[in-house]
Amino acid sequence: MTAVLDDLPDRGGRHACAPPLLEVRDLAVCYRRGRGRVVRAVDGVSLRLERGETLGVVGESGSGKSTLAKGIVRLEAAAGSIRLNGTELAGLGESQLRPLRRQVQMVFQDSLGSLNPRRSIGQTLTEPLLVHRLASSRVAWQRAADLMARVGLSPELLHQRPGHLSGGQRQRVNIARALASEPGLVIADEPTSALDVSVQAQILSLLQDLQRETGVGYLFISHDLGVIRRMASRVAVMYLGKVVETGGRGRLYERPLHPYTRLLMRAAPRPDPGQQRQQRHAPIPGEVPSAASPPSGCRFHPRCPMAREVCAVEEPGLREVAPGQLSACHFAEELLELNTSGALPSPASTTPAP
Amino acid sequence: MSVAVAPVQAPAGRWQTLRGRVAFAARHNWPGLLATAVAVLLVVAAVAAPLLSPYNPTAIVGPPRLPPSGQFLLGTDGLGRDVLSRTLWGARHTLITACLSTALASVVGVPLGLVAGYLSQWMSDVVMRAMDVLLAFPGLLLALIVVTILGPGVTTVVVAVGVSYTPIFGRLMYGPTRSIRTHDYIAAARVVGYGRLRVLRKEVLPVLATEVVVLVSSAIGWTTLLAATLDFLGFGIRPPAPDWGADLSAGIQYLRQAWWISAVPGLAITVTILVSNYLGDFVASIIDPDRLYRSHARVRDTAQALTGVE
Repeated sequence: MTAVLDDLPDRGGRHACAPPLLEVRDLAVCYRRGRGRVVRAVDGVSLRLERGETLGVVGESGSGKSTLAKGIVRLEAAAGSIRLNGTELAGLGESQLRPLRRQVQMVFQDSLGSLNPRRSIGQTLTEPLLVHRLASSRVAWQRAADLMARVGLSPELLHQRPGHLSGGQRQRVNIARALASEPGLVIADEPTSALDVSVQAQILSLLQDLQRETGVGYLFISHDLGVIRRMASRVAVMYLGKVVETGGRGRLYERPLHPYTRLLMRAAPRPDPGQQRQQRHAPIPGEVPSAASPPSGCRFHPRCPMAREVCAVEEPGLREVAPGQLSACHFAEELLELNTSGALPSPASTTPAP
Repeated sequence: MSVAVAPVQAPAGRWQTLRGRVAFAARHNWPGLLATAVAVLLVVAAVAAPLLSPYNPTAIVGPPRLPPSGQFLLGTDGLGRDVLSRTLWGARHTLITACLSTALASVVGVPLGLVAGYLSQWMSDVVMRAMDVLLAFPGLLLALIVVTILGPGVTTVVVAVGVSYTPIFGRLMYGPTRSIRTHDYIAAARVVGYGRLRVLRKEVLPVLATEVVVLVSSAIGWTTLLAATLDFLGFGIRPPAPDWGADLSAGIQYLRQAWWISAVPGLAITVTILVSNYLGDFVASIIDPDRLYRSHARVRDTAQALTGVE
């Protein structure tokens, strides 16, 4: 299942000479719940991210996207392989990992909770430079002021505490902190979900501008397909701890090859009125099952309008269905044919599960 | 009137500057201000005892059990020594003992509680059960055990009192640390690349700084009491030297005829304990604007509820 993910043709001119910025293989994060009960929140996820690229990870809540992020930065113990610029992070002890941490940073969803309420913005922003001994205290404060300017904040705010900043300002501070150590990769875990729509747009623009300036790669996690479409060049769709579909943004949005992706897109409210007329907003039936007891076979089959007998028995692996587009559905080819033949039935009219 | 559930943060402005907070606290927190004044007096008394004492504290300067008069402002004790001089010199000994043992308890107890709170579950269990065993003994009993091991003396009292209060510091730091470690800002700090000790020092301790200040300040009161008790029982300083606990004990037999011999050092102990409690609150409200703001908001809300005036 991992082999297929190598050398996605989607990246065009780039070759595999230099190792990718991030290469995750078969990552699994398990929680122990009670006696012997193991919840596999992330179960065998493989991802690949090139320098300066944005990979969007999308899925409902409970799909394991945040746990995936925590597994990659090793906030949660994770099994599998995590290669950053070719360096294996899995299996490293906390102290061996620490010097490598400056290359992967993270922006959290909760802009207030991720800033220490008792420390000033300046203290928080200088810390990455001081921890990694990149600068003296004086230089670090100057750099913090520069960073503030770069994320569009007044350096005067350096002496404020997070409680006195607005949500948007705080998230800018979080972005500044993430960029302070000049990482190659920033994992953004729902960075705009808690913000007003207008502020959300500003933060997304800021992230894009910073990517253009610094060439940083983003692993961008969101439940919002619109946000992912705007930010990501490639997208991975997650369901119950597994990647069910991955591919370039354009093709994936135009022609989803997994029933879950299709339903997810239908469930999202469309701002485009032309499309809205054709496809009405339709929530996905049923609830996300508990990761503690995932369904047999394909994990999506209880909610899938295309499910057949095989789906309850056999778990489909990710495979390349169209160039650069991988799907973990037994009937991905049918979806492909339906799409290309032009007859695009709504999922409601396809044969329901027996 | 609203009941604040979420942590209220002080708004920008006067709450944010040290001068503004001191000015505010001085105007609105008169018990704290009074406590500060008395604390300063106590420290001055202890430091300047040689200058302030009218007599040599260990010399017999008059007839025994003389009531307070112009010559002996607080009377004389059972042997004819000046009570005022002995109490001033006693402040020195008692306060130094209390401060040293508080320092010992906090310097050992606070890091122990922080580390235990941040360690893995079973490691912290080991540390905390050990602390619980210490806590299970009453402070005085624990101190007496230390005295038995080390033999009587000033150092013994410091160690005994310090050891008795170490688990209390540990306990009171452990709980909050345990809850703070689950916060996102700790996760963020780990992602930045902090080591464990740096997380504790830079992220956890600043959040608990106010608690530590309140605790240390209150603990000076408790340790004063315990140290005085040990001296009262005769485990500390050697007899002729002045000490509140020892002097209180020596005056007991004359309580009916000469109450001032015991009452003066007893009052000194009481005042020290009271002052230490108020002082902690006062200092905490000055270093932590939110705390000051919250208490102010509470007072204001109550006033509004009572008067119905916005």
